[in-house]
Amino acid sequence: MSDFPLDERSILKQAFSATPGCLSLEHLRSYVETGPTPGSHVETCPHCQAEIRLMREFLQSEPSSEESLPVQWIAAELKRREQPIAPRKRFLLGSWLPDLRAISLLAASLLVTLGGAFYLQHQKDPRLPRDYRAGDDIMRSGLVATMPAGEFVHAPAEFTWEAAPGAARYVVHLMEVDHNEIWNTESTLTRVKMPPPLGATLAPGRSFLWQVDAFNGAGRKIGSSNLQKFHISANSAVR
Amino acid sequence: MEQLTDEELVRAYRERGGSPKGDAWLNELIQRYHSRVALWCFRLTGDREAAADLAQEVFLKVFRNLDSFRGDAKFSTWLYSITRNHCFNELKSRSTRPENTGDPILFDLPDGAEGIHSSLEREGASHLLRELLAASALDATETQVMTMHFAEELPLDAITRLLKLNNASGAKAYIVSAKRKLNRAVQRLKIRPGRFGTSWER
Repeated sequence: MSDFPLDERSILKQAFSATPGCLSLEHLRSYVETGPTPGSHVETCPHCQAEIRLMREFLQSEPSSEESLPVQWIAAELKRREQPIAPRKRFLLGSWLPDLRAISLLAASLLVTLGGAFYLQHQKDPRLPRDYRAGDDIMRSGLVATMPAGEFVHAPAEFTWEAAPGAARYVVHLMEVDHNEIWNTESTLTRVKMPPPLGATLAPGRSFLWQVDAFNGAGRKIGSSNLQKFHISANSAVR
Repeated sequence: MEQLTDEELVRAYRERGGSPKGDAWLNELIQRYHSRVALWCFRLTGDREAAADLAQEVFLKVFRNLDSFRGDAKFSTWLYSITRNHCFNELKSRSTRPENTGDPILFDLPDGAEGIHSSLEREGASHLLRELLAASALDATETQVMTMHFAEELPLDAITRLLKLNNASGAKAYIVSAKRKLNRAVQRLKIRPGRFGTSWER
Protein backbone atom coordinates (compact mmCIF):
# COMPACT_ATOMS: atom_id res chain seq x y z
CA MET A 1 0.00 0.00 0.00
CA SER A 2 1.03 3.63 0.09
CA ASP A 3 4.03 4.91 1.95
CA PHE A 4 1.94 7.97 2.83
CA PRO A 5 -0.68 7.83 5.58
CA LEU A 6 -4.19 7.59 4.13
CA ASP A 7 -2.80 7.52 0.62
CA GLU A 8 -1.77 11.13 1.11
CA ARG A 9 -0.51 11.38 -2.44
CA SER A 10 -3.92 10.72 -3.98
CA ILE A 11 -5.55 13.16 -1.55
CA LEU A 12 -3.09 15.85 -2.54
CA LYS A 13 -3.56 15.04 -6.21
CA GLN A 14 -7.30 15.41 -5.85
CA ALA A 15 -6.98 18.60 -3.82
CA PHE A 16 -4.67 20.34 -6.28
CA SER A 17 -6.21 19.09 -9.52
CA ALA A 18 -8.75 20.93 -11.66
CA THR A 19 -12.37 20.83 -10.54
CA PRO A 20 -15.47 21.04 -12.76
CA GLY A 21 -15.61 24.74 -11.90
CA CYS A 22 -12.09 25.46 -13.15
CA LEU A 23 -11.71 27.62 -16.24
CA SER A 24 -10.24 26.58 -19.57
CA LEU A 25 -6.85 27.92 -20.63
CA GLU A 26 -8.59 30.19 -23.13
CA HIS A 27 -10.58 31.80 -20.32
CA LEU A 28 -7.61 31.92 -17.97
CA ARG A 29 -5.65 33.83 -20.61
CA SER A 30 -7.63 36.97 -19.81
CA TYR A 31 -6.32 36.82 -16.23
CA VAL A 32 -2.67 36.66 -17.27
CA GLU A 33 -2.35 40.41 -17.59
CA THR A 34 -5.01 41.49 -15.11
CA GLY A 35 -4.83 38.92 -12.29
CA PRO A 36 -7.95 37.41 -10.69
CA THR A 37 -11.00 39.59 -10.20
CA PRO A 38 -12.36 39.77 -6.65
CA GLY A 39 -15.04 37.19 -5.94
CA SER A 40 -14.25 35.10 -8.99
CA HIS A 41 -13.59 31.36 -8.93
CA VAL A 42 -10.00 32.08 -9.88
CA GLU A 43 -9.42 34.14 -6.75
CA THR A 44 -9.88 31.12 -4.48
CA CYS A 45 -8.85 28.27 -6.77
CA PRO A 46 -5.25 27.09 -6.32
CA HIS A 47 -5.34 25.14 -9.55
CA CYS A 48 -6.49 28.06 -11.71
CA GLN A 49 -3.98 30.36 -10.03
CA ALA A 50 -1.19 27.90 -10.73
CA GLU A 51 -2.29 27.66 -14.37
CA ILE A 52 -2.28 31.44 -14.75
CA ARG A 53 1.21 31.68 -13.34
CA LEU A 54 2.44 28.94 -15.67
CA MET A 55 0.89 30.63 -18.68
CA ARG A 56 2.48 33.90 -17.61
CA GLU A 57 5.85 32.14 -17.42
CA PHE A 58 5.40 30.89 -20.97
CA LEU A 59 4.10 34.11 -22.50
CA GLN A 60 6.12 36.74 -20.68
CA SER A 61 9.25 35.23 -19.17
CA GLU A 62 12.59 36.18 -20.70
CA PRO A 63 15.73 34.04 -20.48
CA SER A 64 18.17 34.86 -17.71
CA SER A 65 21.82 35.51 -18.53
CA GLU A 66 22.61 31.80 -17.98
CA GLU A 67 19.68 30.72 -20.13
CA SER A 68 20.34 33.03 -23.06
CA LEU A 69 22.99 30.95 -24.82
CA PRO A 70 21.25 27.58 -24.52
CA VAL A 71 17.96 29.12 -25.68
CA GLN A 72 19.67 30.70 -28.68
CA TRP A 73 21.26 27.36 -29.46
CA ILE A 74 17.92 25.52 -29.24
CA ALA A 75 16.18 28.12 -31.43
CA ALA A 76 18.95 27.84 -34.02
CA GLU A 77 18.75 24.07 -33.83
CA LEU A 78 15.00 24.18 -34.41
CA LYS A 79 15.50 26.38 -37.45
CA ARG A 80 18.19 24.06 -38.76
CA ARG A 81 16.01 20.99 -38.32
CA GLU A 82 13.04 22.53 -40.05
CA GLN A 83 12.40 21.85 -43.67
CA PRO A 84 10.55 24.95 -44.73
CA ILE A 85 9.09 23.49 -47.88
CA ALA A 86 5.72 21.82 -47.46
CA PRO A 87 6.19 21.51 -43.70
CA ARG A 88 2.89 19.70 -43.27
CA LYS A 89 4.29 16.67 -44.98
CA ARG A 90 7.94 16.75 -44.24
CA PHE A 91 8.70 19.02 -41.32
CA LEU A 92 11.50 17.59 -39.23
CA LEU A 93 11.31 14.19 -40.84
CA GLY A 94 14.85 14.32 -42.13
CA SER A 95 16.37 14.96 -38.75
CA TRP A 96 14.15 12.51 -36.95
CA LEU A 97 14.56 9.51 -39.10
CA PRO A 98 18.11 9.33 -40.34
CA ASP A 99 17.85 5.56 -40.75
CA LEU A 100 14.94 6.00 -43.10
CA ARG A 101 17.26 7.62 -45.63
CA ALA A 102 19.51 4.59 -45.68
CA ILE A 103 16.50 2.30 -45.99
CA SER A 104 15.10 4.45 -48.80
CA LEU A 105 18.41 4.36 -50.64
CA LEU A 106 18.58 0.61 -50.32
CA ALA A 107 14.99 0.24 -51.48
CA ALA A 108 15.63 2.60 -54.40
CA SER A 109 18.70 0.63 -55.48
CA LEU A 110 16.73 -2.59 -55.32
CA LEU A 111 13.91 -1.08 -57.37
CA VAL A 112 16.32 0.19 -60.02
CA THR A 113 17.95 -3.23 -60.29
CA LEU A 114 14.64 -5.07 -60.48
CA GLY A 115 13.17 -2.45 -62.82
CA GLY A 116 16.16 -2.70 -65.12
CA ALA A 117 15.92 -6.46 -65.25
CA PHE A 118 12.19 -6.25 -65.94
CA TYR A 119 12.73 -3.66 -68.68
CA LEU A 120 15.35 -5.75 -70.42
CA GLN A 121 13.04 -8.77 -70.41
CA HIS A 122 9.93 -6.92 -71.57
CA GLN A 123 11.19 -4.47 -74.17
CA LYS A 124 8.54 -3.46 -76.69
CA ASP A 125 8.59 -1.43 -79.85
CA PRO A 126 8.36 2.28 -79.19
CA ARG A 127 4.86 3.78 -79.39
CA LEU A 128 3.66 7.27 -80.16
CA PRO A 129 1.80 9.17 -77.47
CA ARG A 130 -1.96 8.66 -77.49
CA ASP A 131 -2.55 12.33 -78.34
CA TYR A 132 -0.06 12.30 -81.21
CA ARG A 133 -1.21 14.07 -84.36
CA ALA A 134 0.47 13.84 -87.72
CA GLY A 135 3.08 16.53 -88.10
CA ASP A 136 3.85 16.83 -84.38
CA ASP A 137 7.48 16.62 -83.42
CA ILE A 138 8.16 13.80 -81.01
CA MET A 139 11.36 14.28 -79.07
CA ARG A 140 12.83 11.50 -77.04
CA SER A 141 16.03 13.02 -75.84
CA GLY A 142 16.46 16.33 -77.64
CA LEU A 143 15.60 18.50 -74.66
CA VAL A 144 18.47 18.70 -72.20
CA ALA A 145 18.29 20.33 -68.80
CA THR A 146 21.77 21.74 -68.19
CA MET A 147 22.10 23.84 -65.04
CA PRO A 148 21.83 23.69 -62.09
CA ALA A 149 23.37 20.26 -61.67
CA GLY A 150 25.65 18.97 -58.92
CA GLU A 151 26.79 20.64 -55.73
CA PHE A 152 25.98 24.26 -54.85
CA VAL A 153 27.05 26.42 -51.94
CA HIS A 154 24.07 28.76 -52.44
CA ALA A 155 20.69 28.23 -54.03
CA PRO A 156 21.28 28.47 -57.79
CA ALA A 157 20.23 31.71 -59.43
CA GLU A 158 18.72 30.31 -62.63
CA PHE A 159 17.75 27.25 -64.64
CA THR A 160 19.10 26.74 -68.16
CA TRP A 161 18.46 24.13 -70.84
CA GLU A 162 19.17 23.50 -74.50
CA ALA A 163 16.63 24.67 -77.02
CA ALA A 164 14.28 22.05 -78.45
CA PRO A 165 13.35 22.21 -82.15
CA GLY A 166 9.74 23.35 -82.61
CA ALA A 167 9.34 24.50 -79.00
CA ALA A 168 7.43 27.75 -78.49
CA ARG A 169 7.59 27.73 -74.73
CA TYR A 170 8.94 25.73 -71.83
CA VAL A 171 7.66 24.84 -68.39
CA VAL A 172 10.22 24.27 -65.65
CA HIS A 173 9.34 22.08 -62.68
CA LEU A 174 11.33 22.13 -59.43
CA MET A 175 10.79 19.11 -57.22
CA GLU A 176 11.95 17.54 -54.03
CA VAL A 177 13.74 14.23 -54.35
CA ASP A 178 10.46 12.38 -53.84
CA HIS A 179 9.19 14.15 -57.01
CA ASN A 180 6.74 16.36 -55.16
CA GLU A 181 6.62 19.61 -57.07
CA ILE A 182 7.70 22.70 -55.15
CA TRP A 183 7.38 25.27 -57.89
CA ASN A 184 6.95 25.67 -61.63
CA THR A 185 7.19 28.48 -64.10
CA GLU A 186 6.93 29.15 -67.79
CA SER A 187 9.39 30.72 -70.21
CA THR A 188 9.74 31.31 -73.93
CA LEU A 189 13.53 31.45 -73.53
CA THR A 190 15.94 28.67 -72.61
CA ARG A 191 16.60 30.06 -69.18
CA VAL A 192 14.59 31.27 -66.25
CA LYS A 193 15.63 32.94 -63.02
CA MET A 194 14.89 31.35 -59.69
CA PRO A 195 12.89 33.86 -57.60
CA PRO A 196 15.02 34.85 -54.55
CA PRO A 197 12.22 34.05 -52.03
CA LEU A 198 12.08 30.54 -53.48
CA GLY A 199 15.85 30.22 -53.29
CA ALA A 200 15.70 31.25 -49.64
CA THR A 201 13.36 28.38 -48.85
CA LEU A 202 15.62 25.71 -50.34
CA ALA A 203 17.11 24.21 -47.22
CA PRO A 204 20.86 23.63 -47.07
CA GLY A 205 21.88 20.01 -46.90
CA ARG A 206 19.12 18.86 -49.23
CA SER A 207 18.87 17.78 -52.85
CA PHE A 208 16.35 18.89 -55.44
CA LEU A 209 15.27 17.68 -58.86
CA TRP A 210 14.16 19.71 -61.81
CA GLN A 211 12.93 19.07 -65.31
CA VAL A 212 11.74 21.11 -68.25
CA ASP A 213 8.86 20.35 -70.64
CA ALA A 214 8.67 21.80 -74.15
CA PHE A 215 5.41 22.84 -75.83
CA ASN A 216 4.81 23.76 -79.45
CA GLY A 217 2.86 26.76 -80.71
CA ALA A 218 -0.41 24.82 -80.50
CA GLY A 219 0.18 24.17 -76.81
CA ARG A 220 0.98 20.50 -77.25
CA LYS A 221 3.72 18.98 -75.20
CA ILE A 222 6.49 17.90 -77.54
CA GLY A 223 9.09 16.67 -75.14
CA SER A 224 10.48 16.44 -71.65
CA SER A 225 14.06 16.84 -70.57
CA ASN A 226 16.15 14.55 -68.48
CA LEU A 227 15.63 14.85 -64.73
CA GLN A 228 18.42 17.03 -63.38
CA LYS A 229 19.57 17.02 -59.77
CA PHE A 230 21.38 19.55 -57.62
CA HIS A 231 22.35 19.67 -53.96
CA ILE A 232 22.85 22.64 -51.64
CA SER A 233 25.69 22.17 -49.17
CA ALA A 234 24.74 21.72 -45.54
CA ASN A 235 27.07 24.49 -44.40
CA SER A 236 25.57 26.96 -46.85
CA ALA A 237 25.02 30.48 -45.55
CA VAL A 238 22.24 31.16 -48.00
CA ARG A 239 19.42 31.65 -45.49
CA MET B 1 4.87 39.92 -43.03
CA GLU B 2 6.34 41.05 -39.70
CA GLN B 3 3.44 43.44 -39.18
CA LEU B 4 0.80 40.72 -39.37
CA THR B 5 -0.67 39.28 -36.18
CA ASP B 6 -0.31 35.57 -35.45
CA GLU B 7 -3.94 35.00 -36.33
CA GLU B 8 -3.58 36.86 -39.64
CA LEU B 9 -0.58 34.67 -40.49
CA VAL B 10 -2.63 31.53 -39.80
CA ARG B 11 -5.39 32.88 -42.05
CA ALA B 12 -2.92 33.73 -44.80
CA TYR B 13 -1.37 30.29 -44.54
CA ARG B 14 -4.76 28.60 -44.80
CA GLU B 15 -5.66 30.63 -47.88
CA ARG B 16 -2.42 29.76 -49.65
CA GLY B 17 -1.52 26.53 -47.89
CA GLY B 18 0.74 24.17 -49.78
CA SER B 19 2.31 26.91 -51.91
CA PRO B 20 5.78 28.33 -51.18
CA LYS B 21 4.14 31.60 -50.21
CA GLY B 22 1.75 29.86 -47.84
CA ASP B 23 4.62 27.99 -46.24
CA ALA B 24 6.50 31.26 -45.78
CA TRP B 25 3.57 32.60 -43.69
CA LEU B 26 3.69 29.48 -41.57
CA ASN B 27 7.45 29.61 -41.11
CA GLU B 28 7.24 33.24 -40.02
CA LEU B 29 4.57 32.33 -37.47
CA ILE B 30 6.49 29.39 -36.06
CA GLN B 31 9.79 31.20 -35.87
CA ARG B 32 8.17 33.89 -33.74
CA TYR B 33 7.80 31.28 -31.02
CA HIS B 34 11.06 29.36 -31.34
CA SER B 35 12.71 31.14 -28.42
CA ARG B 36 9.65 31.03 -26.20
CA VAL B 37 9.12 27.30 -26.64
CA ALA B 38 12.88 26.74 -26.41
CA LEU B 39 13.04 28.55 -23.07
CA TRP B 40 10.09 26.61 -21.67
CA CYS B 41 11.52 23.27 -22.77
CA PHE B 42 14.99 24.16 -21.50
CA ARG B 43 13.63 25.04 -18.07
CA LEU B 44 11.70 21.79 -17.91
CA THR B 45 14.52 19.52 -19.02
CA GLY B 46 17.62 21.44 -17.92
CA ASP B 47 19.43 20.12 -20.98
CA ARG B 48 19.68 21.88 -24.32
CA GLU B 49 19.69 18.74 -26.51
CA ALA B 50 16.71 17.25 -24.70
CA ALA B 51 15.00 20.64 -24.86
CA ALA B 52 15.59 20.89 -28.62
CA ASP B 53 14.04 17.44 -29.12
CA LEU B 54 11.08 18.32 -26.94
CA ALA B 55 10.55 21.66 -28.70
CA GLN B 56 10.77 19.92 -32.05
CA GLU B 57 8.03 17.53 -30.99
CA VAL B 58 5.91 20.48 -29.89
CA PHE B 59 6.20 22.19 -33.28
CA LEU B 60 5.48 18.95 -35.08
CA LYS B 61 2.29 18.70 -33.05
CA VAL B 62 1.47 22.30 -33.92
CA PHE B 63 1.81 21.55 -37.66
CA ARG B 64 -0.26 18.41 -37.40
CA ASN B 65 -3.03 20.11 -35.46
CA LEU B 66 -3.07 23.52 -37.08
CA ASP B 67 -6.39 22.70 -38.72
CA SER B 68 -7.95 22.42 -35.28
CA PHE B 69 -7.00 26.00 -34.40
CA ARG B 70 -10.36 27.73 -34.62
CA GLY B 71 -9.10 31.29 -34.50
CA ASP B 72 -11.49 32.39 -31.76
CA ALA B 73 -8.67 32.20 -29.19
CA LYS B 74 -5.24 33.74 -29.48
CA PHE B 75 -2.73 31.61 -31.34
CA SER B 76 -0.27 32.01 -28.46
CA THR B 77 -2.81 30.49 -26.04
CA TRP B 78 -3.39 27.58 -28.39
CA LEU B 79 0.34 27.07 -28.81
CA TYR B 80 0.81 27.28 -25.06
CA SER B 81 -1.78 24.57 -24.43
CA ILE B 82 -0.02 22.25 -26.88
CA THR B 83 3.40 23.05 -25.39
CA ARG B 84 2.23 22.67 -21.82
CA ASN B 85 0.35 19.41 -22.35
CA HIS B 86 3.01 17.79 -24.50
CA CYS B 87 5.88 18.71 -22.19
CA PHE B 88 4.06 17.73 -19.02
CA ASN B 89 3.00 14.40 -20.49
CA GLU B 90 6.54 13.69 -21.65
CA LEU B 91 8.05 14.55 -18.29
CA LYS B 92 5.39 12.56 -16.49
CA SER B 93 6.08 9.51 -18.61
CA ARG B 94 9.81 9.75 -17.95
CA SER B 95 9.75 10.45 -14.23
CA THR B 96 8.82 8.35 -11.25
CA ARG B 97 5.86 9.12 -9.02
CA PRO B 98 5.86 12.31 -6.93
CA GLU B 99 8.48 12.24 -4.23
CA ASN B 100 7.65 11.52 -0.63
CA THR B 101 8.95 14.78 0.76
CA GLY B 102 8.27 16.43 4.09
CA ASP B 103 6.21 15.34 7.05
CA PRO B 104 2.97 13.57 6.25
CA ILE B 105 -0.25 15.46 6.71
CA LEU B 106 -2.03 13.72 9.58
CA PHE B 107 -5.54 13.18 8.38
CA ASP B 108 -5.92 10.50 11.02
CA LEU B 109 -8.03 8.23 8.88
CA PRO B 110 -7.71 4.47 8.39
CA ASP B 111 -5.11 3.41 5.88
CA GLY B 112 -5.37 0.53 3.46
CA ALA B 113 -9.14 0.30 3.26
CA GLU B 114 -10.59 0.08 -0.22
CA GLY B 115 -14.09 0.68 -1.47
CA ILE B 116 -16.68 3.40 -1.10
CA HIS B 117 -15.90 4.14 2.52
CA SER B 118 -12.24 4.79 1.80
CA SER B 119 -12.88 6.81 -1.33
CA LEU B 120 -15.42 8.99 0.49
CA GLU B 121 -12.88 9.62 3.19
CA ARG B 122 -10.29 10.50 0.61
CA GLU B 123 -12.73 12.82 -1.09
CA GLY B 124 -13.56 14.40 2.23
CA ALA B 125 -9.88 14.95 2.99
CA SER B 126 -9.29 16.48 -0.44
CA HIS B 127 -12.31 18.71 0.04
CA LEU B 128 -10.95 19.82 3.38
CA LEU B 129 -7.60 20.65 1.83
CA ARG B 130 -9.30 22.64 -0.89
CA GLU B 131 -11.11 24.68 1.70
CA LEU B 132 -7.87 25.27 3.54
CA LEU B 133 -6.23 26.32 0.31
CA ALA B 134 -9.09 28.66 -0.52
CA ALA B 135 -8.60 30.19 2.93
CA SER B 136 -5.02 31.05 1.86
CA ALA B 137 -3.30 28.44 3.99
CA LEU B 138 -0.41 28.46 1.51
CA ASP B 139 1.41 31.23 -0.27
CA ALA B 140 1.40 31.51 -4.08
CA THR B 141 4.66 29.66 -4.66
CA GLU B 142 3.75 26.82 -2.30
CA THR B 143 0.41 26.44 -4.07
CA GLN B 144 2.15 26.49 -7.43
CA VAL B 145 4.73 23.89 -6.44
CA MET B 146 2.15 21.59 -4.83
CA THR B 147 -0.09 21.81 -7.91
CA MET B 148 2.72 21.07 -10.31
CA HIS B 149 4.13 18.24 -8.24
CA PHE B 150 0.98 16.48 -7.05
CA ALA B 151 -1.63 17.35 -9.69
CA GLU B 152 0.65 17.42 -12.73
CA GLU B 153 3.18 14.95 -11.30
CA LEU B 154 6.17 16.96 -12.48
CA PRO B 155 9.57 16.17 -10.98
CA LEU B 156 10.88 18.63 -8.42
CA ASP B 157 13.96 19.65 -10.40
CA ALA B 158 11.80 20.61 -13.39
CA ILE B 159 9.54 22.69 -11.15
CA THR B 160 12.57 24.38 -9.59
CA ARG B 161 13.85 25.45 -13.00
CA LEU B 162 10.47 26.39 -14.47
CA LEU B 163 9.61 28.63 -11.53
CA LYS B 164 13.19 29.91 -11.25
CA LEU B 165 13.40 28.99 -7.55
CA ASN B 166 16.82 30.08 -6.36
CA ASN B 167 16.80 28.70 -2.81
CA ALA B 168 19.20 25.86 -1.98
CA SER B 169 16.75 22.94 -2.15
CA GLY B 170 14.42 24.48 -4.72
CA ALA B 171 10.87 23.11 -5.02
CA LYS B 172 11.46 20.54 -2.30
CA ALA B 173 11.61 23.26 0.38
CA TYR B 174 8.22 24.56 -0.73
CA ILE B 175 6.68 21.08 -0.52
CA VAL B 176 8.03 20.69 3.01
CA SER B 177 6.77 24.08 4.15
CA ALA B 178 3.39 23.65 2.42
CA LYS B 179 2.79 20.30 4.06
CA ARG B 180 3.83 21.65 7.42
CA LYS B 181 1.33 24.49 7.07
CA LEU B 182 -1.42 22.16 5.91
CA ASN B 183 -0.67 19.79 8.74
CA ARG B 184 -0.96 22.57 11.28
CA ALA B 185 -4.20 23.76 9.72
CA VAL B 186 -5.63 20.23 9.81
CA GLN B 187 -4.67 19.82 13.46
CA ARG B 188 -6.34 23.14 14.32
CA LEU B 189 -9.51 21.94 12.65
CA LYS B 190 -9.48 18.79 14.72
CA ILE B 191 -9.57 20.96 17.80
CA ARG B 192 -12.39 23.06 16.40
CA PRO B 193 -14.51 20.50 14.52
CA GLY B 194 -17.21 21.61 12.15
CA ARG B 195 -15.64 24.97 11.35
CA PHE B 196 -15.43 24.16 7.69
CA GLY B 197 -18.40 21.78 7.76
CA THR B 198 -16.73 19.12 5.65
CA SER B 199 -17.97 15.56 5.35
CA TRP B 200 -14.56 14.49 6.56
CA GLU B 201 -15.05 16.40 9.82
CA ARG B 202 -18.36 14.79 10.39
